[in-house]
Amino acid sequence: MFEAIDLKFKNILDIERVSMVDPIVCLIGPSGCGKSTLLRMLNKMEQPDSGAVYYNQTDVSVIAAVELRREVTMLPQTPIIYEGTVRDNLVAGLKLQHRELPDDNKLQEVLDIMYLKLNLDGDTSRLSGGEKQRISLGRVILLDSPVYLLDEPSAALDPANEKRIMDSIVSWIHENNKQLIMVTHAVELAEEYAQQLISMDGGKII
Amino acid sequence: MNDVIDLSLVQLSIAYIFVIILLLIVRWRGIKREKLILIASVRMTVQLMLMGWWLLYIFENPSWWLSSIMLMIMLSFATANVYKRVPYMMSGKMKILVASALFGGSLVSALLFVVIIVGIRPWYNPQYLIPISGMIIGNSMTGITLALNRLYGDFSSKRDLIENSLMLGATPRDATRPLINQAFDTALLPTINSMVGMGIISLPGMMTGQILSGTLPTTAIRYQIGIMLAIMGSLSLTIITFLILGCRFFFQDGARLVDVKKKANS
Repeated sequence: MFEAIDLKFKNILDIERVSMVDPIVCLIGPSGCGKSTLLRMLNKMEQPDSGAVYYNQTDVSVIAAVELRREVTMLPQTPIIYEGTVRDNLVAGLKLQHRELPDDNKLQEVLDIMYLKLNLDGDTSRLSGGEKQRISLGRVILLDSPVYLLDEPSAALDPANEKRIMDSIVSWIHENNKQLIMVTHAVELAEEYAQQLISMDGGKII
Repeated sequence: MNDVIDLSLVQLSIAYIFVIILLLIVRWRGIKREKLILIASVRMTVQLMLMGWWLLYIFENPSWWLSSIMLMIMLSFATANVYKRVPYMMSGKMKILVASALFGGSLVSALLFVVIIVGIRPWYNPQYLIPISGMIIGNSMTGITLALNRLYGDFSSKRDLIENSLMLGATPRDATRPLINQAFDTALLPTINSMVGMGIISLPGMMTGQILSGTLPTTAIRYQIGIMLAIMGSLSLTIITFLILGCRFFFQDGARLVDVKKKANS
């Protein structure tokens, strides 16, 4: 659960108060309205000029950044693919956190959630934008974090895949008692999934 | 071995015919480099002449403080040269670290080679200490410049990748591990490549110089092998110290990346 109070950042963000308590929270608004910046502040990728962000009633400024990011995992808008195979990419987050790596059954399960039919030992250099996006999503799902911050998770997906993959992610979030805070341009999608819809414009909550 | 054949000023001046040939070529091809070629030729001549006289003075008056001053001058010029050849804005802390790594890595390796391996007494014997240190410092300078360029370039071009790793809960050290390894590899590769070709493709300058001055080739070769190993040691020490400590300066509070900026004139 997050709460932001009197949050100001350059001329990008000016938020009086906002709470995000529901399992699925969607941030919507026009491009450049500060949605992604707000998301980045929730896991300390940006530092506000003034004001505070609270995570489970604790000011995030007193939580070590790495510790916070291991609970609150963020996925940026542009999918990032690391050097190596599909498997290397799926387990990249776990490796970076020095955690035990899962067996192939678990990895296959994640590929299924993402509707990906790929060889775990396959090369990643020729994947489409949508496949890269889905591998990136699979990578964060494997981290099993309590909170997920997804920035336009369906931006690189074609319309046919967008709905079923979002359905799949949202079901997984509910089944596993996680919280998902998501920036999206797709208002219909946000209205369908979100228990809490936050509209932004000009850096403010409207 | 034969005595060395002295090169008279008249003989030396004939060698400048190569500069004239180069000037004719660039003029013919319309490549605007005449001024730089002339400046480079004059600077090389004047600098080496002055160095020759200065070394003659130091060799005739060996003392620990004169050798130390000479080493400090060489290291200071090398450090300034690194700053100049990196096209990115470096923070004050980074500049101090670069200088410390260059001074520390080069001096430890040079003194280890001169005092422990070759066993020169006294340690400040300028005939050995200065040319050997010069080679080690020169190679460290090139290595650290390559490492810096690679590291700054990667922090600039792979920002999204590093941020993604941070978002996945990586520590800055883990997020930058591949960049450090690549910069280390980039810095060391030219030295390793030159070692591969040494003795077949190239006869190194130090060895050639010793042979020309009458040293037995077998002795010259032993020196060359030793100095190459010392250069590799110096490079490894300088570069790894700099990279591990220097990576911190790319992060600010809260494990967030700082912006990498290019110099205005690059």
